[in-house]
Amino acid sequence: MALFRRSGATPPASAAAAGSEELGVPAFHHLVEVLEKTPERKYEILDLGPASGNHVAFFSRFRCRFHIGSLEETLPEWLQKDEEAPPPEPPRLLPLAEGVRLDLILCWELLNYLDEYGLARLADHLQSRTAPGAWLHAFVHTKATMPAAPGRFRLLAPDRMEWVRDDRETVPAPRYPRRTLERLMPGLTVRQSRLLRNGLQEYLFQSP
Amino acid sequence: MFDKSKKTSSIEKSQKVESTPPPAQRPATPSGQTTTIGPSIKLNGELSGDEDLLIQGEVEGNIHLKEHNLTVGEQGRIKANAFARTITVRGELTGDLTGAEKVTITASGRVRGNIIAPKVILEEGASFKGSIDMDAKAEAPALKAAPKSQSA
Repeated sequence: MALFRRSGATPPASAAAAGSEELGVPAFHHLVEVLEKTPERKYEILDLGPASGNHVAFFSRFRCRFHIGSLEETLPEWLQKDEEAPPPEPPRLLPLAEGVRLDLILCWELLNYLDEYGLARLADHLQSRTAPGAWLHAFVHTKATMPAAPGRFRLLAPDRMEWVRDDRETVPAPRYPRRTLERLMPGLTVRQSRLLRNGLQEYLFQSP
Repeated sequence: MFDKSKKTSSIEKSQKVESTPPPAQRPATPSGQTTTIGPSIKLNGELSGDEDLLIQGEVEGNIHLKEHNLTVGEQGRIKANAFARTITVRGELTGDLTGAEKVTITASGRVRGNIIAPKVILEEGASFKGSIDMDAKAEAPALKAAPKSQSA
């Protein structure tokens, strides 16, 4: 079922979206290497995806507090609406404990499912909770369409992931260019950007 | 069984607290002693004990089992902070969990809160929103702070 529709556009039907594929993820690999350089440090990591035992097991190699945001549960509430009622405040949609300063934010492909308004709101909320030098990792679709609902990413190794897509429907992808992402997420600079062979652009951002 | 002296406890609907649950529901325990809070029981207050506990009913408050195992069954609905040696959630729980050894949320489990434990297992399909402190070097301060005087 489609989780998100962009501006009332009618998504073209596709039967090719469901399934899984293995991805080489060089930017994520670099990130893991950076974290491993300071094993004594305790990291605050926010996973915006749904709860995943695979992710918890992978990051248990680090001293860390691992926050699970399950952003997909509140995605529609981040989007711009025509209604007069103000949208729910971001801290209500994505609560974080007082005093937490995030060192790493894992977005997976969720940014693609936010409009520019929602993306800016999310970025603003996160920026107020990040530590200096914090990292943000994300995938952005560069093809015309993407699965109608976000998929799941299984971490196979520091340099490999499995992208699992449960949704056979597709919707138009926003195909956010780098300039747009940096405009909507001010304060974050692209440190690495890799176009993966399946058309996903892998981004690694860092705050100053 | 439970020391509820710290808060006013109430059993809204009286029902016998079973001490021998069906084998399929019984969590593993070295002593084999497990108490079950049945599905029609509602408890408000502080629970503590020196044996394993399976909750299939509703509990609000705090749960201290120290060196024993806590299981929230499929029908269990908990609003409480829980401290135990191992905690397994198959039902719903809102609150903070401190496991001295391990916390497991099974595929049917739904948890909102924070977890501190040296080992945390989220089964595929488990629902969880909150934080997991996986710092193996960190101790479980809340567990250590659990009052020693409370016993079964």
